[in-house]
Order: sequence, then structure tokens, then C-alpha cells
Amino acid sequence: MKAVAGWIFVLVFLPLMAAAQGPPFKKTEQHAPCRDYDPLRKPLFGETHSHTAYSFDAVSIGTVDRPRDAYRYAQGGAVYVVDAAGNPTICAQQPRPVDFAVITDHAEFFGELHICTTKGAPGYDSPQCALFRKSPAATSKPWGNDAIADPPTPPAFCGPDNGNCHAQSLSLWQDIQDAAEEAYDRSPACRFTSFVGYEWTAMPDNANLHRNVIFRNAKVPKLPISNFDTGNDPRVLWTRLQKECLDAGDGCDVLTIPHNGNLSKGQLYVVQENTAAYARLRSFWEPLSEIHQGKGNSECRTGVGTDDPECGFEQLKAQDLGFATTGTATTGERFARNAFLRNVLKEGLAKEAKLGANPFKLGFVGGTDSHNATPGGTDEVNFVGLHGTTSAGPEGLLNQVAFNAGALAVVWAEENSRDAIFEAMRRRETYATSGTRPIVRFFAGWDLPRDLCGKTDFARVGYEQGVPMGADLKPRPAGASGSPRFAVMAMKDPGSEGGSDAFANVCTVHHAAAKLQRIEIVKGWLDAQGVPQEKVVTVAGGADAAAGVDPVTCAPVGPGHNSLCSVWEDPEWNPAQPAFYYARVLENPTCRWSTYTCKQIGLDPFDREKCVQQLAKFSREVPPATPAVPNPQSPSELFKPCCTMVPGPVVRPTEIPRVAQQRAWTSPVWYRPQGGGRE
Amino acid sequence: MRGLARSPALHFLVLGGILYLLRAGLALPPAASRPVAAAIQASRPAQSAAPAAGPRLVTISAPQVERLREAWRRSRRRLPSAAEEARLIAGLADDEMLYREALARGLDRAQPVRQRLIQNMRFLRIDEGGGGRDLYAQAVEIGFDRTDPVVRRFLVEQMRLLVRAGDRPDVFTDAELEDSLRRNAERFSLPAFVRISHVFLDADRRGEALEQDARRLLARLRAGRVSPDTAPELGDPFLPGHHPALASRSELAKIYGPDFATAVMRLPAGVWSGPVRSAYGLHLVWVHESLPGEPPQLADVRGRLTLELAHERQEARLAAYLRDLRRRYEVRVELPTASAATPREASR
Repeated sequence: MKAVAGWIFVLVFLPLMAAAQGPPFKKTEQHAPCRDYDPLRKPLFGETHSHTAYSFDAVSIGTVDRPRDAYRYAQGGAVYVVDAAGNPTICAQQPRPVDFAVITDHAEFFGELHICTTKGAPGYDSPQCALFRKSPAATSKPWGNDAIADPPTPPAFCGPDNGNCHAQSLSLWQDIQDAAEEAYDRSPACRFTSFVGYEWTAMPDNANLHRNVIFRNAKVPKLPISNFDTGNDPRVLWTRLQKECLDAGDGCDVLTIPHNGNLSKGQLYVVQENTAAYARLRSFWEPLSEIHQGKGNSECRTGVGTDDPECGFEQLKAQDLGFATTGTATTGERFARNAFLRNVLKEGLAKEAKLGANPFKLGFVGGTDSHNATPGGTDEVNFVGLHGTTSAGPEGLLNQVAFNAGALAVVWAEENSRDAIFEAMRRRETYATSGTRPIVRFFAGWDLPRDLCGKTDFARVGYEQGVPMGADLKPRPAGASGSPRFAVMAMKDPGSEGGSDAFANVCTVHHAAAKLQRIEIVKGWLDAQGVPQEKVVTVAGGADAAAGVDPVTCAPVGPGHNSLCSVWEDPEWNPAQPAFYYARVLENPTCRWSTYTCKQIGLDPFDREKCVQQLAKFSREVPPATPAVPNPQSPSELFKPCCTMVPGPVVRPTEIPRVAQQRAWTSPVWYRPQGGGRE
Repeated sequence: MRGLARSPALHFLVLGGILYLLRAGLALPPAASRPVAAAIQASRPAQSAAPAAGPRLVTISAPQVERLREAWRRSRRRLPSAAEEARLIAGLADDEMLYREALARGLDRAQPVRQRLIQNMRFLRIDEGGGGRDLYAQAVEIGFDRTDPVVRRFLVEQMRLLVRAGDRPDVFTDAELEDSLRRNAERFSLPAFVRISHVFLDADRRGEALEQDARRLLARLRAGRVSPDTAPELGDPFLPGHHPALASRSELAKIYGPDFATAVMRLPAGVWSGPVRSAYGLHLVWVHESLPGEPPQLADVRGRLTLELAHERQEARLAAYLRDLRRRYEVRVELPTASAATPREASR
């Protein structure tokens, strides 16, 4: 009997105890344990980059929705975004909520009302504040009595003592924190996670050096550290964040995520100091980069360090933020190599060989960069634009036809809470999608079972015998046979019907998801001469010309895969050559958002002749000029992109395709030769 | 500027240019500043110079209504209905009233407004050689503070913020929180959770034979009383896993699709059920445990609830304030005489 009792104890209670030991991530906040905690981790879909009316540039394009509206939208509710006149009349609702979202309004224009007049407030001693404190203080005067005002005084009803003023709580930064707290579900339901964050907006000479700053929990600095405080050098930002957050001693934690390498003129991914210390600093602060977002793709560009034909996906015409919508097409040669993450990863290997540490260990996330307060709104059919009044309605949208509906960040985490998600980001166990929701797993290891795709415990074996996406391959064990193996699986997006539990369908449209076409593994390595190389290998599935869309309904048609899986061993692996590997999953073609927009207004990108005829009819609809609207724009100009879309895939960056293959990119896994520099 | 204002490039350019100028403190080449200043002064719309005309009268002019209609037409390719147009006009009037109240409280002297005006002056190269303070004074002189749309938007939004906030911070009793919890039970309650194991039949693999295979296997599982721990081996591998952790309907929908998730929430525990369809094929499902949805506990949701209630109070304050403004102000609407499509009687 004793033996039996003993076995019962071992078989039943030990596993329970192990599960009850608590989460492997560190808890830094109060949060009820999530009911659906999963030690094998689950995919959480989220937004890491979105703007509301608290961003100055969003205000200038008319956006009125704020963080609370944005969180409502993120959780599946309907909000109203502005039309071309700036009135919030356009209903926006996504077909499914996201699991988490960060609102990253630009810190530079928070317009803190009291910063310069509240002694002890960070920024009180900044040059801007000192400058206007020099002028004599003005008493508050009613409007109309005095045209020339002296330095700002608080609103008259605030009272003379700002320190007590209840209006302090009106500061945008505080409101951002309050809105995040309100949206964050700390109950065991764990429905939604918000993060406090902002965008640091460095843009020297129109080269994009922006970073999103994401805080782990509610402990944040008193004010965001903006580009005004630091200048354009991210090292200054990191130093300030180290001081005011990591070293604050209150549990504050933070990381930064750069984006739009494609618009950086190659200046975003630059090694500022050729030292191992810099490399470690950089890869600590920036474990992730946005590989895709509304303002184009940054994975790769055909002709810039690669001849991969899939790298014509969502490319823009020019490579800095100042590009005009009517500029001439940019040839591949003019783009800097380090505008694109695949090249940056290769450079990271080369730098590690020299410095002993890799400054560019980039995991991948996606974001929308919505300036409409619509975080996560990446669905092609329900896309309402990214830029307020300038992208409102079919005319506005088509005026920005080169932009896309944005991307999603997906993390593998044990539960939907800040600590779990943040640590997933730190360890780079993330993938990005170009807007759809396939489920993708990627493991790398020595002697992963070749038949892992036929097993019923793929993830458990992957974690036990390998490492997940974003990690370093473990050192090769003594008895290991052959090359490293990579197990990758993808499940197609299961579809959105059913939407959100909390909000009724007001104006969202559900549509079928596409099947998968193929999985590729992208390898980058240093050859015997230390020169970076790359190769793309299809490891599962394959292109089938019969897969496409119904030209009338855009419904996906033709053959494809519900799921794909492969265990791939690198036949060219060389133990002396450092390398990275990441998986790219391609869906079957589906209509791009611009195709849906054109169809909505009666223009068919699939029938050029009919389209041109219909466009001519629209041109006769130009409303008469009035004093209020002296130059009504001709619809034929605005809607022309509908009649000039190419069948796809894109050959020149000026082309807009009517269908596109949505995709996912996993964070890379890195291989280091034995005896190579360790961090 | 009008046509350019449509370009997203301009806004990024402006932002970049502003930051660049502020950081670099570049000396700008002299430009024709006087004509620009004069042009801005000439373009000031009449109602913004309103103080002499009576601060309590708001006139929505015919051109403004036309612009509203045009913007609506651009978004929807039709003109607004009478009700829609009335709502748009009311919104415009509310904004104008809030704007004037903001000016009356001196909000236009706040730092962000000063900064914005100085930046505008530099960007348009209207630099008569003064420092920041002189530029601000000049901006006010030519009426830039009244015409700049960002300043106007800032003031309107600041006014909303201030009105919402009220005179003192909101504090709520437990009774008030409990009441709000009752009213918002859906959003705060714990959903139902279920823990399953499942056997999978892959549509990709089995094609035509899918349904038959599923029925046969279900019969086998039931007859042989196969344990849910070992049963998955009898079917096809489901790569996300066969023994998911406790999950709510929406969590299941994320992996299996919404139809599967909805169906599974209704299954009885301790038996083999199915076949249940997912986006990938058919599943035979064993429910280990089922946790019904629960009403929320105040302790778990106190923080969110407090903010939710505060938000409700703030919205109510703003609504009351706007109602009061509409009583105190007179709003006159001038409808365009010739409208583009349907004839309209003058409202108000």
C-alpha cells in the first residue's frame, strides 16, 4: 500500500506542485493569477506603436480620439475617427480585439502645462523653461484685454499654488497612465493588457531615428524623456532611462523599440562606438525592432543586399521621412543597406566577430503607427487609414495608397499580463505578422526529432530539446550528430467571426482568412572570408499558381494549406561560421486594402477597361466650385490608383498590387561557433 | 498650403523641420516675410475676430456648412441627411463655444501654444530678428494665435479636459462602486473557462474521408473508454497542442476558430463529444473541467472601476457644461442657398 501511495504521490502531486511553483517570469506588480496560465506559453497578439490626439502630429491632422478611445478600439469597441473636415464621423471597429496594446504618443509635444513653473519637476531646469522664466510673470487677464502675453500662467481657477492644483492631474502623461490603468485587466480573466509608453522622436535631417519606449509596469518616470531633453543620440536616452527608471529602485523597467529602418537613410542601425560595451548596451536596450508597419516594410528590399523576389512587399519609394508623395521613383541603389533588418542582422554577425558582442540582435515585432487612435486595426477590409483627415474616406486613403494597414506584434507568453509579455519581449520570443493572425512556432536545437511534426507534443519537445525563436542556440553537445535542426510550424489564421465578447458589432465586417502557401527559413552567415551572406530556403509548402482570389468578392480561392510544418537541417552548416536563422511564413494571395477601397466606390482593379470607363463617369461628378470650396478635386485624379494596380507581385516600388501575400516573420535564432566571444 | 495640407509628407516634414530648427538654431535666409504676414492677416476668418460682435453669438456660416457637406461627401460619396447635418453643425458650434471659453480663461497663454506659434513663425521664415519672445508677440500681432488650427484644437481640448476634471478630484464610496459594477457586470465579470483534451482529424490530410474517419474514431473512443491523455495518438498531430490550459471562449477562438470555441463551451464534462469543426478539421473533445462565468469581485476590479466611474462623471460634467453653453450662447446657422442635391428647409 505504501508503494502505491508513493506512486500516487509522484504521479499526481509532483506535477501539480511543479505547476503551482509559480510563473517563471518575475512578478513586479499586483495582478491576480491568470486563470488561463499556460507553462508552454500561448500567442498574444498586440500593438506596440500607436498614436492618439495626444501626439502633436496627430492633432495637426485632426485626430480627436484619445487613449481611452484607443483602448476601447483595441478591445473590440467601435470608435469614430475624423473625416476630411476633422469631424469624428467615420465609424471604425476591428473584427477581433487585440490582447495587448501600447499607446506611444510623441513625448516632445505633451505640452505639460506646469512643467516650467513647478520647481523640482523634471524639465524645470531645461533651457526652454529657463528662457521664458526670465520674462516677468504676467497676471492672468481675461481674453481680449491684452494681446501680448508674458510667460504662461496657469488657468486662473487653478489658484496661485500649482503644487496643490487639482489640474496637475490633467497633464497628458498622467492621463496616459490613468487610461492605461483603466484598460488593464488585473483580474483572473486577464482579458487585456495595456502598457504605458511613448515615442522618442529623433529625426535629424529627416532620417528616422524614432524609438518607442515601453515601460514594464505602472512605475514610470515623472515625465517622459523626450528628444528635447536628450538630442538625437539614443545613448543619452538610454542613460536617462537607466537613471530614472532602471535605477529608480521602485520596480521600474523599460525597453526601447526602433522602427522604420526603411525610412532612416541607414542611420538607425549604426554602431556608434566600436566596442563590446556599446554592442552589449545596444542589444540590452533594443532586443526588438519593428520589421513592418503602416509606413512600409523593413525586412528587406529586392536589390539592396538581396535578390530575394519576396522583398518587393510593401516597399516605399524613398527612404526618409521627408519624401513627397509625388516624388520620382527611387532605384534600389539609393537605399542604404542598413535600412533593412536582414542586412542589419548580417552586419551584427560581422560586428560580433570583431568586437566580441553583437550590437544588432534584433527580434521582430510589428506595429501600425496609426495616428487615428486605432491600435491593432490591421484588417485589410476594416482599415480606416493611419493619418486622420489626410487619409479619411476613399479619397484620403487612396491619396496614401503606398501605405499599408499596419502590422501586429505576437509574443509567446504564459499569460496575458504585463510581466509575462514584457519578459517575452526581452527574451525576443516574438514574431511579427503583416496584419493577419497565423500561429507560428519556431524551435532550434541539436537532435530535435526529425519526426517532430508528427508528434502530439510539438511545443513541449521544442522547449525541452531546443530553444524558441529569439534565443541563442545552445552550445553543441559533445555527442550531437550533424547540423542544427530547425522545427517550424504554422497554422493559418483561424478567422475572426465571433469577434469580441465585450462589444457588439457596430460597423465591422468579417471575411474569410487565407490559407498558407509556404514556410521559408532565411539564413544569414559569415563566410570563410568574414563576408556576410544570405540564403532563403523553402522548407514547407510551395507556390501554386491556382491559388488566388475571386475577382468579384475577393474571397480566397484555390489550393493552400491549413497548416504547415517542417524539421529542417541546414545542409550547408559550417561550425566555424556564425549564423542566424529566422522563419518567414507566406499566406496565399488576398486582396490588399486598396482593392477593397476601390471596390467600395465602384471601381474594379481587376478589370482595367471597366475601371477607366467608370472613372470617366466620376470625373463628370465634380461638384461646382463655391467660395468655400474653390478647388474641388477631380475624382478621376484621386481614384486613378484603382485603375493602375498590377496583378502582383510588385516589380517596381511605385507599383501597387491588387493582391498581396500577407506574412509572418519569427525572431531569429543565433548560432555562435564554439569558443567565440561570449557576452 | 491647402493642397499641401493633404499630404502626410508635409506633416512629417513640418514636425521634422520644427525639431531640426529648434535643435540646430539655424539662421534662416531672409525671405519675403511681410507679404506672408499680410496674407495671414487678410485670411483671418471674420468670426474669429468676434469680440466686438458680441461674444455670446456663434454664427455658422454658409461656407462652413458647405465645407462640412463636402467633407462628408468625400468620405461617403453622398451628402449628409438632415439629421446628420444637424449633428455636424452642432459639433462645430460646440467647438466654437469651447474655444471662446478657453480664451476667456487665458488658456491661449499656455506654453504649448507659445511654442507652436514660435515654430510656425520660424517655419514660415517670418523672423524679424528677435528671439523667441519677440516671435511670439509678432505671431499674436498678426493674429496667428487665432487662425492656427492646431492652437485652436489644443484650446478646445484643454477646455474639455478642464471641464471634465471639475473642481476637485472624484472620490467614490463603495456603494457607488458596487452600483457601477452591477451596471457594467458584462465587462468586469470573469468569463466561463473550460479545460479540454482533443483528438484531431486533419482536413488537409484526410480530404473526403474526414467525416467518416471522425465518426469511426469517436465510436472507438467511446467504446474503448480511451483516456484523454493517450487518445490524441490515435488521430493526427495538432501542432498547437492537444491539452490546452484552461481557456475562455475567446482564447479558444484564437487557436481553433470561433465556431469551435463556441461549441466547446457547451459540451458536457467527462465524456467524448464531437465531431466539432475547427478551421483545420474535426476534433473529438473531452472536457476535463468547466468553470462557469463569475460575477466580478470588487477587490479585483476596484482600480479599473474607479477610473471607469470617474470617466462617467467626467463625461456627465462635460455634457452638462455643453448644455449650459448652448443655453447661454446663441447659435445662428446660415444654410447655403443652393445645395448640391436635395432641397433643404432652413433649420433653427
